[in-house]
Amino acid sequence: MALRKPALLRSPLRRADYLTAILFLAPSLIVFGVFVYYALGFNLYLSFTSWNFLSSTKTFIGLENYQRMIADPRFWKVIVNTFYFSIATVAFSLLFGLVLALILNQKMSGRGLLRVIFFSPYITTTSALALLWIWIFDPNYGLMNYALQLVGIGGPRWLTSTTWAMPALIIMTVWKTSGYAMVIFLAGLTNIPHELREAAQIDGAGPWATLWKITLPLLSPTTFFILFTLLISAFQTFDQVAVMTAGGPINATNVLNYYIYEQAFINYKAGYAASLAVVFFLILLGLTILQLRASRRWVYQP
Amino acid sequence: MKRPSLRTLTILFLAALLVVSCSPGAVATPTSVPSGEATATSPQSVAASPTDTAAPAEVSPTSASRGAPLKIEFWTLLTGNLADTLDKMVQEYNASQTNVQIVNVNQGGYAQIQQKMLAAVAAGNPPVISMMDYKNVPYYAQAGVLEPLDSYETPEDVQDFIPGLLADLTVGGKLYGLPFNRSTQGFYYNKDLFRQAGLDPEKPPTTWDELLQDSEAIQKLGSDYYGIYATGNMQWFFEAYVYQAGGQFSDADCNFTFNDEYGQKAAQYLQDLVYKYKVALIPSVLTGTFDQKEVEFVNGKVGMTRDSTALNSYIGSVVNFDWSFAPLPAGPAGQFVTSGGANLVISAKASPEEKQAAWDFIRWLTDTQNSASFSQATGYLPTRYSVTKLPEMQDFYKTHPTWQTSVDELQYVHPTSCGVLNIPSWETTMNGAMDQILVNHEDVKTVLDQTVTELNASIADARNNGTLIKR
Repeated sequence: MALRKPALLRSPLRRADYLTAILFLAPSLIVFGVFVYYALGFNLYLSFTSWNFLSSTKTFIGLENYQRMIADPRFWKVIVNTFYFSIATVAFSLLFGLVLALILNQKMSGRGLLRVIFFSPYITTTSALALLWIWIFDPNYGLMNYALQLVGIGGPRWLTSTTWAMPALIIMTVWKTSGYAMVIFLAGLTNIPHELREAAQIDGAGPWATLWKITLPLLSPTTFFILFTLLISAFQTFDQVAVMTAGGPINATNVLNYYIYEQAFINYKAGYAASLAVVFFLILLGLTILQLRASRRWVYQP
Repeated sequence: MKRPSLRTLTILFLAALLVVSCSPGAVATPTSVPSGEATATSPQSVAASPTDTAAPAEVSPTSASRGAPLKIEFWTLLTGNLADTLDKMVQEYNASQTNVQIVNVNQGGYAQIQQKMLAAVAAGNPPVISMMDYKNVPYYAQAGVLEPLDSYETPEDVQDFIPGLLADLTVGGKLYGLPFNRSTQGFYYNKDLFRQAGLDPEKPPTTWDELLQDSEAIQKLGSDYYGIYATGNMQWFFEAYVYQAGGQFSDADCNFTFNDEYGQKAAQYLQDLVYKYKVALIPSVLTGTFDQKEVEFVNGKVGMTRDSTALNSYIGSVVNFDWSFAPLPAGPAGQFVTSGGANLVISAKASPEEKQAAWDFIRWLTDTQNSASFSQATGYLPTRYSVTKLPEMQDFYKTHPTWQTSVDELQYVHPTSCGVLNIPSWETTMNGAMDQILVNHEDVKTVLDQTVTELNASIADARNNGTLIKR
């Protein structure tokens, strides 16, 4: 898919055209320049310094922050946590979103209401939901352990257990984002031409075969889109960590975005936090490129 | 196509930049916060008038003669009923004179004000007056952000303040703040539960051993009853426990020493309450509000909970049993507590007129009469000796015995160790260590050794950079 340059770019522009273009682009260029690109560039510079936010001097220390990062066991713990959290939330959100979408795509009474109910957590403020889920995960008075008790399981002390705190955050986040996946899947389902499924059924395909051979392949661009957006937002998770666990116990739920915040605004290590932010950026950039490339292989393109 | 063109890569790169920095989840990216905060605060400072260049022209004598008051921005951090009390005091000050108008901006809490101060200082635009956590004052003072107050105060001023509270605000022999909402440590207990367990509700435990015995008595009430919590803000309490055990938290060179026998004894005692005697409950959540962290206490299942004296004005509104407040029990070496809470500081960047106006205000806010009414309304410590001697306070203490408890505790206040003052990351590090010992049941000596090694590396860094803070 080599792009040919559009005619406009190939022909030499007159100066007036340039001016017009710049004039139209100026508002967004200025806004992005000041609030995004300048900030990013400044962050990159900070990552080579030692600075405590307060001192008027930022000491240039080259790559020392990055060397420290490699030797910092907490950093590696945080990286593992971030991937654990992101992969688990995205996988389960996709799964539940798809199942909900397939069910709520059927003609049934009250499906409009059900769609609203399943989607509503996604548009509710995360920190408010996090407060709610603190109660749900309360080992003595919470709904979660009450429900587990009904089926004979003694629930763990969710948010104070190094083993279960992360699954607790994942459950809460999957509950929140499944509705988002559902809505996008529903939109994707309506785009699948009806004739294809009918044709398959005439050829003798059962519901399972139709799902695997027709619906899922045709849904793959949608799946890809959801995967892409959810993975990026999962990597940026902050609110529920800050409210429910503050990264604890013993960094069991400390994810990269929270660790950056902790280093910068609690520990006053602005330079180190900046270098973490650079790594954060590179990870997201790498993921984005990887996903775009991988998508060409398996996304159905008519 | 085999290889993406340079242009495709560039577009991808820029797109990724946008995704990273523009999505709502990016709240905490350090790059975005300072710039965002700076723009958010500057309109306030413009409205609240002169913090920098505009100041001299605006605040000429003519403004006073015209009667336009000098506006002074004051950042506060209290919440709920405590914030309402402070708001009323500011209004009272503004109504009492016409030269200066204090504009108080509530930043919503200790963590929030700390982030906003960092951003405001980095942007060169700090408020004229701010409340500041006692642990942060030396750090900001050393960076030259705070105005030394020695040239403003009179000797009588200083002599009247509780020395333990002033000590935390003194760096290099200079005073950088006035103690305001200061608190100390004790524990709240459920008198009804004490009665049920056959204990005397008027005699709360006064030693480590008594605390254990009383906890065991409470636990006999049922399998879901506990004497006290295992942890909860333990990074703040642990220093006091080390002093109670007979240790020093850090030595004269600010190196942490709490992995010595005393530190181990303190940590072992706390761990034994959880695992050996099984009388201390690990809380359901390690962060959050009082009624979330200490929900079992609120529900009458845990007999005692360590917390700040500042909850004296609040706890009655969340529990419906007979409660009281007692000092932290004494350890083998006696009774010690450390203090917490915030102080009033003035920006070194403010103009001389603003500084003088700010000083007049904070001096007024901390005078005997106002300290007395603030202490009564909130449960915070009286910061001056003269407050406790007022007849009205003497009467108040008779009807509010738990307030008297915090006054009694003043004599046990140990200044914060110089190690702690030097390490902003102390709190997160210590918090993790306490969770390792108390939540994860890890070996006391191993955890303390690791923690001390890590913290002392930061101390060594500060010493090598010449930034070690000493009193």
